[in-house]
Amino acid sequence: MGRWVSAREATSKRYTRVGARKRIEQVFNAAVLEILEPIELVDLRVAVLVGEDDNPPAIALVCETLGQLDLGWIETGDAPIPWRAAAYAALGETLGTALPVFGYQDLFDEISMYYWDGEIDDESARRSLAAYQGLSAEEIEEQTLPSEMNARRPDWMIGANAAKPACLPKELAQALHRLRDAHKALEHLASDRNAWHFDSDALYEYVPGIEECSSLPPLTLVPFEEFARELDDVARHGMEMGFMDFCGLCPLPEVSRIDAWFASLRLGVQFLLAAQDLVRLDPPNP
Amino acid sequence: MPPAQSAAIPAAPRKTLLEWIEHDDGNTTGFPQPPCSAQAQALHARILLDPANHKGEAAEPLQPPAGLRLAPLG
Repeated sequence: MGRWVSAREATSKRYTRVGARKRIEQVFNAAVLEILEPIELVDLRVAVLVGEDDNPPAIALVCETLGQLDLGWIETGDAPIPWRAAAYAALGETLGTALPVFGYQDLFDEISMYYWDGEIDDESARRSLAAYQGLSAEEIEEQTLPSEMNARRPDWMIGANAAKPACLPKELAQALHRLRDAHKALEHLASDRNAWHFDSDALYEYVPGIEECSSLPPLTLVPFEEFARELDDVARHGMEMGFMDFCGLCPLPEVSRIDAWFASLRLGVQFLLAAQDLVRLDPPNP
Repeated sequence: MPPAQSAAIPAAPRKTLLEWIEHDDGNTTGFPQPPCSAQAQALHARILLDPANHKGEAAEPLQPPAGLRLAPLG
């Protein structure tokens, strides 16, 4: 990091050791904060980690926000359902590339593993409740079953309700297009030069104790309004031990990689800004 | 036979996820300072290096404290 900063210095001023350290932190922090500044959808934090056992230093990108993402008009607006469903589906398909976020299918799968031994239809779920938890027919009727959970989804959460791009108002279609384009650019990054990517094995090496954390991301696209109990159930481990809140961990074997990291940070921010614009759009009703 | 319901140990009371988020406790990303006495805090203030003040940096090699009779190993 020191070499990266010194290459950017206009003057060849001499620093003491402590002064140099302060200067390096100041220059790096300012560069990161300037890039992250326009994002209000989530709070992000960057930390430079020292590598042990001959590992190079690494830059970690962590999500500090917890709970349901603000979905704006998609959740609470009065725009037609097919528009809201199209926007929600697009966020669900793309956001996970940059943010530690889980969607309805992930929640359903977790609940299915917890209560129904991985079964996804009512009949098999009833059988597993009887066989593995020894519940009586009466007790089973009090349990949540897959069809009841699925039926609780509001219409805008169901992908099949999404309108085709040609049927959307121009403004919304453009916002979706920008989101998809920014997402594509992010996906094309090489994984070892991507601020928004991490390798689990590397994470365990750089962040001792992280394996104790829940594997559940801290953010969700699932609304609390309808699924508070299920979200509470699956988040229990995370509340006790911490959530898997890393967006990325990028080891830097050479100084030149810092520029690549910054370039990828900017691409991710453009993608998140596209998502933020979509959430704030609120297209006027026809 | 399933164990009688009355024999089960009730679950410890806990906050729901929503309460937990609103109260913002259990924050695992930052470590809060443990509470300490004014005396301990004064000691910490003396130990902590002041990055702007070179006098805070310990001279090498480290000198043994006055009360220690034997020279440090190594």
